[in-house]
Amino acid sequence: MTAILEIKDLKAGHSGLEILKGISLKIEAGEVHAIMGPNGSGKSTLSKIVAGHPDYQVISGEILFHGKNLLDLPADQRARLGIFLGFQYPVEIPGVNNSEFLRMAYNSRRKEKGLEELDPFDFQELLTEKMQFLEVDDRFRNRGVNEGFSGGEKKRNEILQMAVLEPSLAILDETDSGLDVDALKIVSKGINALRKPDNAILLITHYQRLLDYVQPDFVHVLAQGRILKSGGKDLALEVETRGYDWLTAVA
Amino acid sequence: MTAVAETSPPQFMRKAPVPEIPETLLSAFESIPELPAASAVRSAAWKSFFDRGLPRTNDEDYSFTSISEIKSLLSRNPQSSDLDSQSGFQFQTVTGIEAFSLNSSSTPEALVSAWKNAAVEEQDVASSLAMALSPQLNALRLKAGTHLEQPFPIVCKSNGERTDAALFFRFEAGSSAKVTFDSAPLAPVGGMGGGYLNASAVFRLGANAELDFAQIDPAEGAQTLKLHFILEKGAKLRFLSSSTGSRFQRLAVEVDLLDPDAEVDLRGAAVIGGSNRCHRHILIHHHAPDCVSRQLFKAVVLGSGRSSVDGTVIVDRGAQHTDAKQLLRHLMLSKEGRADSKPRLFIHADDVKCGHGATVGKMDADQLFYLRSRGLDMESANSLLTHAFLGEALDASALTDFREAARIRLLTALEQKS
Repeated sequence: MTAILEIKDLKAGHSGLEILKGISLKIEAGEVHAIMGPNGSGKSTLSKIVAGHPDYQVISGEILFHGKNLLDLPADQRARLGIFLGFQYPVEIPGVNNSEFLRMAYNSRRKEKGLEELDPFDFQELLTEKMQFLEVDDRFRNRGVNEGFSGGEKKRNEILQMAVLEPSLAILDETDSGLDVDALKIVSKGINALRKPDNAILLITHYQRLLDYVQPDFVHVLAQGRILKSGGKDLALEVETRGYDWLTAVA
Repeated sequence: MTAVAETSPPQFMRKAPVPEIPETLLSAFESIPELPAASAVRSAAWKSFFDRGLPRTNDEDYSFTSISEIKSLLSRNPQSSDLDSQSGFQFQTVTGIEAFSLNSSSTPEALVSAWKNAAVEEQDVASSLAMALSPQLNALRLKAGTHLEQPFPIVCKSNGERTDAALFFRFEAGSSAKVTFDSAPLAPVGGMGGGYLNASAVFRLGANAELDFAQIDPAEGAQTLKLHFILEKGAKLRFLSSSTGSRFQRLAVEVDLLDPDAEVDLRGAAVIGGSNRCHRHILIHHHAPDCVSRQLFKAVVLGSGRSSVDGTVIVDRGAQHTDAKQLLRHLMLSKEGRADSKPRLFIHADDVKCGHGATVGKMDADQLFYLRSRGLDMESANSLLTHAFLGEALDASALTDFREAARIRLLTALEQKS
């Protein structure tokens, strides 16, 4: 079976600076991978490269999504194919209604699949169900996208969007940062609910804490633009105890 | 009745030689019949004009406007009073509103003198000329305590190469109204490429009067429009202006907060594309303490469009506890377009809250990527962000039908001119 995401010897960067110096990673359906690493290791760069951020450039290597080359596709096309990026810092977009925006996003994905678009009424029902599951306050429905939301509310809104869009691959870039324990539990509930045999999740995190709630199948340590070590859940615990120095020293 | 000069024209009109004042204007003014009430306003307005003359190069009030063009427009031959009565201000009076013509003798003295005072103080030469040369001088009055539920539409039409029109509207104490102001499409005239409307309207709000006002610029021809609002104690004004520009558009808005506790909220939304132009000149004057003013002007510039917003807030020495905010924002969607902003504050009191800002920028790249990362294509994402940009200025108006009509016109302009 074809992997959901396959990255082959990826070198990439930003503004002429090489940040990722040869990354290879294969994520199969049903798997949850976690990427950990110190600040500046290239974790966020990797997420932006996969999502298709126009400011980041691929120098060499390949990214295949369900066996299809992603690199020539713009960000919106990648999203419609089923890639979701949960932002580390979700932007505020005053004046763009949260639920209306989500409906447009949802329908763009349905259209891509050749399905009929959902009308506003039916979509509101779907949204209500997801909002209740993730304990999102109803007043967020008609606010501007992330407008005036607290840090935790923005992250929860990212998870709500993910729950509505049901991506094939969710990349969550430090979704756990800035969350208190209660919010972390709800966010984890949302991530675990997405976990299905036919999709995959890539968690990017700085701390082991999230992994107590979302059990990863694989853990990778990224530092200095390279994956230095891969392992199971135990690797995350080891990093928690020993820090990153022992790995970077080996490198 | 107000005293009026017995001889025509008064001495100040001809201080020969007057190279700044075109003969067309001098003779047009001199040919207007002497009618007591009307002449009180006209003479005061003409003197204001005469003292200033036509705009000159380096005139601060016309920083972003072509002086030669505005001079050329203002020098056009004014339409004479015996031309058809279909041009100028048009409205249907309703219960609660009284309408007067200053050409007849029935206009209450209080209205004439209030208008005359505004004419004496007028700094905008186009507006002075509109009052001096308008064949009709219409005065309206909303009676004290009257609440007009339905919007009251005022239309200003022009017919011919040049139309001057002037109006005074008094909202008595405790009244409330919604007013829409529409300049009808201008009759195209050969040569100069369209008609020209020069209009001036003064709105004086009595104590605790409330006015919701929305205005839309004509889509063709040239226009200089002055809207002057004078607010007495506790009066409130909510104002929306929308424009898609035209060959030449200049809107001047002046707000005088005369007494304490008056509040004004000015918003403007514009989409200026093609080779259209739109200039806005805003002056808010806090004369008294405890007043609130807000300005939010937003314009999207496309093609070779040109937009400018010149906004000034003056806080007088005695106007303590003034709360004034001003934000002028331009969204540039083309390299050929041009936007100018001039936010200015003149504060002469020491216990005030005043803030101002101006931005000219492209679409926010982070917002754009966020929308695209959710599956919206470039066109949809751009369109959503542009609508949101304008929405902030449009959404607050209580004149829902007019506001939505304005929105459709702006969005149509976005589609056509992008």
